[in-house]
Amino acid sequence: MRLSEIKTGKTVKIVTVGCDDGVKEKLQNVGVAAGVTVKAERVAPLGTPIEIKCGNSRIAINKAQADKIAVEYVD
Amino acid sequence: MSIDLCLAGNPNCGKTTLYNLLTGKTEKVGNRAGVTVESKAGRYKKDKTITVTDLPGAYSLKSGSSDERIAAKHILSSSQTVINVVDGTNLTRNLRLTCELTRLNVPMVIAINFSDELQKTGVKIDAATLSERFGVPVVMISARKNTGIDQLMTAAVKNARKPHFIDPYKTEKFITETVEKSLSVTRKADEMFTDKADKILMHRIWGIPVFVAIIFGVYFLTTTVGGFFGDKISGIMERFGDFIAETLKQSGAKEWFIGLITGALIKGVGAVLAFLPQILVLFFLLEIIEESGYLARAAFLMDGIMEKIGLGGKSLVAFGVSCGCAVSGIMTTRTVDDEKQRRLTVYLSPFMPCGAKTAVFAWLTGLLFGGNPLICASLYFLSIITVAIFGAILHRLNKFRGVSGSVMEIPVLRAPSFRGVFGALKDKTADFVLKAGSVIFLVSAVIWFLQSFGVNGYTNEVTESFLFIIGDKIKFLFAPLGFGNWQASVAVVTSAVAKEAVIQTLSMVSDNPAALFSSGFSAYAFMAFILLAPPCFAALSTAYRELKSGKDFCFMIAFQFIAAYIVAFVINGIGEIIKYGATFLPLTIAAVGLIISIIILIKRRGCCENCSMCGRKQCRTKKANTTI
Repeated sequence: MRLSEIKTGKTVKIVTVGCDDGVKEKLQNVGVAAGVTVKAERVAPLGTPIEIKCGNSRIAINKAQADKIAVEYVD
Repeated sequence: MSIDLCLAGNPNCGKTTLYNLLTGKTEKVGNRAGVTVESKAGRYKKDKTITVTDLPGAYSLKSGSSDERIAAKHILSSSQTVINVVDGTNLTRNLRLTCELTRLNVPMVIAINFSDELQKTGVKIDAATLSERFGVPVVMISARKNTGIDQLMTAAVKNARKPHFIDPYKTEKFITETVEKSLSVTRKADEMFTDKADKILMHRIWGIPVFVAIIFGVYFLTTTVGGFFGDKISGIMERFGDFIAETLKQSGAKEWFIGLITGALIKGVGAVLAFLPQILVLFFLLEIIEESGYLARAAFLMDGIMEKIGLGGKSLVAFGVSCGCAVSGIMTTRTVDDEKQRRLTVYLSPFMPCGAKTAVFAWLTGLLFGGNPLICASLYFLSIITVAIFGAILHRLNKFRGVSGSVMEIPVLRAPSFRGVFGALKDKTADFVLKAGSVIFLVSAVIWFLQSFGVNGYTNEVTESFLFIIGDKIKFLFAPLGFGNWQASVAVVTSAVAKEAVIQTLSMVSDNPAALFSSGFSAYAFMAFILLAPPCFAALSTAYRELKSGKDFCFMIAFQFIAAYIVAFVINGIGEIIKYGATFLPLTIAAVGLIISIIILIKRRGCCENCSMCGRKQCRTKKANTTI
């Protein structure tokens, strides 16, 4: 399942980050990496970007990039 | 003996605020990553033998970005004592850099910032435990509230020559344990103000009306408050000019000299000063929007639309502000992070109808179209369409393909610090007055000269002036657009000083300006041309300073002129076709051909998002990432 498909409010665990290198690094820096749990907060009015909560940080990710992040639900 | 301190930490953790406190300076603080892009150095105000350097924010010293390389290089350079500023509300993430720093074997102390916010949300960090884990002094501070600073400096000085080294084995685990041991929540954190506010500010539906309201608010306040005081200043300058003119006349000065002093000097300076209130109000409001963190939210909301032309939400803010005044709008492009996107935004902003242009349209509409409000409204749409079309075209050129901020951190909403706001206000305003001002003034002088002097020397007759000669020579340029007469040409030239000048010029050179246009369409084409052509010199000089490149500046002028020309041509062409029927073949073919090429340019799709111009099926560069 892709990060971009997650319903807002749900918490998921990141399986793989398949984004372009530069973006992958930026994500890593703010703590978004494989194995980390994040929560989908909201989606912007036009479908992009998507806001997620990672730890105490709130990160906005382009939908195209969020399409490349594989996640699974945690329950 | 002198001590060299440097401030290292994640972006947006309060380093610059701390730096300002320590050195008494007022460097720009922005509530977004990337504001401090070079290191700044100063001296500790309470002890001048201590130097303090503010480094750019870094998440990790190993990263490729230039910000982070600068930070790493500086720390390792020479006998630096590091103050690691840590954002207390984001401990886990911030400690990653801390671990890297402790491996560098440099003297360091840790400053946990935002202790005021931690207190408000009931989160407690045990500095002693942290200190024990990392082996260096840890001090709780709040740069905004100016607490803990003295303790921090004492600790830093004490530790100055004691390099420290620990290599946390299994960093992530170490950090997690450290946080567990030192962080405790003493009471249930109330839903922070930020979260409550964001329910509306970033709401999927309501977020946009709020955004529009805020932009409108900025536009409204700058034009009314700024306009009010600007008019007062204009009035004063005018009366001053009249007074000087009278005085000079009394003392028998020559007419041309009086004209030089009042028409060029005083009028020129007056023009710059009249802008000042507007600039002040705009900067003040923008600083608040940026420092509070709202700007990031605006970008979040609007990124979706702007993506189509390769720009972001912040560019939209610049466009909105440009509807008041292009000078302000171009200044607003400073909020755009990516350099290429910023450049594109500067190029497109002047297409928006500014206050001056609207005045011209209102006057012309009154004369030619009986004051029909649809005309002015349609011109707004015309500018939006032009931005969309030409923005999309330029976007196709790699030169403007900026890196979309694919990843952006949304900062907590914070009340802006007055130090920061007023400091920035002071700097930007001085900048504007000194630099833009001198250009505006110079141009006013030149135009005055052109209109007051002719082949036979000083003259009151416009038809004898150099301006007329110029207008006459270039009028052929505008023939295909429907206004190929010297009067309209002259008006276009004087619009370089200020777009409103069109009104004065046309009134001055013609008793019946309406007769200058052969049809409603050519009059509309004229308005479209004024709308889209390169802006007044105030805006042009602002643009030059923002672009910092003569080449880019010339490109912009050429680009805007061509865009204006094409649009006016098409409009007039439509008028001609209607008038003469489709028998007017050459023009029809040219107009249609133009429209088709524009559509092709926009619609062209390449093999992948990296090279939309190549049009190949197989990508020569890296293949796009496969999906999961």
